[in-house]
Amino acid sequence: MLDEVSQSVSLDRELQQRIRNGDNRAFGELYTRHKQPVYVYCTRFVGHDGTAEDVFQDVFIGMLERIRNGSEIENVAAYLMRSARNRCLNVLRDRKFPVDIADVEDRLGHDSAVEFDTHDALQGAMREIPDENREALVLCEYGGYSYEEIARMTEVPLTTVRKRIFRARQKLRELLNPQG
Amino acid sequence: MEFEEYVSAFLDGALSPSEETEFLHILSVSPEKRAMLHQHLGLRSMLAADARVASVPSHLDAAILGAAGIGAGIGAVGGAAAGGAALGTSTSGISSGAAMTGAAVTAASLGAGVSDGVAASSAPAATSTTASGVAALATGSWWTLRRMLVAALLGVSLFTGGYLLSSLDKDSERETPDASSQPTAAHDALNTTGESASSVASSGATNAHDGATPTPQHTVSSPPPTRTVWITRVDTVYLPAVAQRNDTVRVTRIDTVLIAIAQTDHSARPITIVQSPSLQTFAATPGRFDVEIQREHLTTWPYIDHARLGVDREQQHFALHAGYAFDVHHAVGVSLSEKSFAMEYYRIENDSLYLFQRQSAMLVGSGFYRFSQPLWTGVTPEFTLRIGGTSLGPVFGGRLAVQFAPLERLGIVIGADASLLAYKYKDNIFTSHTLGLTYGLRYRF
Repeated sequence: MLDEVSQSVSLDRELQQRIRNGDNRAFGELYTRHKQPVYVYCTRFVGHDGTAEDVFQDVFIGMLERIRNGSEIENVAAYLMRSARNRCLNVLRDRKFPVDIADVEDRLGHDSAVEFDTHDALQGAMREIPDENREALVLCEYGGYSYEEIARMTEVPLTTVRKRIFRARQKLRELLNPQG
Repeated sequence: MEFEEYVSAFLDGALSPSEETEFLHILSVSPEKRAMLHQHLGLRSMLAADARVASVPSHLDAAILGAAGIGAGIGAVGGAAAGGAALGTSTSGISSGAAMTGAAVTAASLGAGVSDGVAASSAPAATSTTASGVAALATGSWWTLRRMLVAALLGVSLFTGGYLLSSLDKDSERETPDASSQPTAAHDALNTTGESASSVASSGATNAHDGATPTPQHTVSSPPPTRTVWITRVDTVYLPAVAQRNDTVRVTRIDTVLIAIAQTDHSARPITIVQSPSLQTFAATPGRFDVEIQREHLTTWPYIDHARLGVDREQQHFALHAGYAFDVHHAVGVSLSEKSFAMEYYRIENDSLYLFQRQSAMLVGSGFYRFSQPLWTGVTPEFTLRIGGTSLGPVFGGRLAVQFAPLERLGIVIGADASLLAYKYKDNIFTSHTLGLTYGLRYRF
């Protein structure tokens, strides 16, 4: 496992070196290696696809500029997640994107489960969760991060992570299982 | 902590062993709590499905790669390979592997007991020579357990014995053995690794089906490790986080509610739980009966003239208890014991004080309530309150004790016991009491 990580890190460094040497295709490889987790994190954390895509784009373009300026990123995955987190928090703080809470409530309150689109319902319910709880849940459920890792990433105690994930799941369950 | 927080932490493997024991016990006795767990498992499946469908749109690939001065082709090609590996990296430098974590048990499989993907099982094994029950948790040969695999197996079969087989099987292609298969064949199947079982099944020559000698298509070079563990109603089987290729865990002595939960990566789905028909006949009661024989070394008050009466102030008696434990904490029951109370009573008559003393052994019958609080595995402090009576009057008592349970059914109870007898003479109430050490053996059914 550790070998895989070290191999991954060394490959990332090699790609960064190639980017600094002007090899644009190396950025394509680097992007391909890391885009998926960052994308899932952004979209599920921000909860608004358009805004999340802007954040996602900024993250990678920012990394590219940083590398081209000669910086060496030690751990690309960690850097990207940190960068994505900071940008997501910024947009969530500003709230410059529309959140269709009323629409979500209407749909969640709908009688017919058959007409319920699971994905939309889930995303709607996710938006109802407070930001810090949602972030912990996204990192845990979508990212597979351990509580310890989430605690380090979000700089909160382990017990807080546990509470946040619990609160997020509780909220989701309440919203998606109104009878339960 | 709310129970739902337990559920959440359990799903993430974040409960301490003691918390997990408590959690599993609550689950085993509460249908409502199990329903809540099912909801969370369903929720988790929904999140996992959502993670799988999330992929970077091609227009985004084009925009970013275009900004970098290259075409979108590279990203598009690689995107498929990266798909499903959401957030598969770690800031701690340790790869967290696959796309998402997920409880491998679906709500449906838990609720129904038998899921769509059926693993090898054989109902007659329940009545085989393996006594009260057999369960096995077989890992597939090709998948890797990335995180701690937690399998909790609980089965109900208070007296009839029960059997269940839990298996983690990615493709769920193994077949349910015929109910008429021989117990020995089923037993062999339980000892078979996931890989060999699959290969045998695919070759169409399963001994569980037709009793014929299996002719596997390939052989395993070295026999896989088999661990046999004894399991009680709230035990948990822990498998190490590292891959246990071909590892089989054979679990015996299942005697309460069935539930098996594992936390694995999504590629390990689905977990398959097969519940044997015999489990349908389980007793409705979730608790357990126990009996206890107790030796008492007591001292009695008030002080009387023991020498003149020819009795010993230090008593050594026996007591028998029969209890019913509703759950891990609460139990009620009845006790029958022999006790000697030093009794002193008097009357004043014609300016003379008439003093009477006696100390005779008497039979004490009582009912009791017992509260237990498990501390560590096998160590359980408990407090018992008794209310009963003798032919002379009511008896109130209590015992503060610790139960040590080196074996699943047998426990040693050591503690301090106190009793108070109230008796009446000539319209006056007198009391006598005892205090001392008790120790005994408790057997749980």
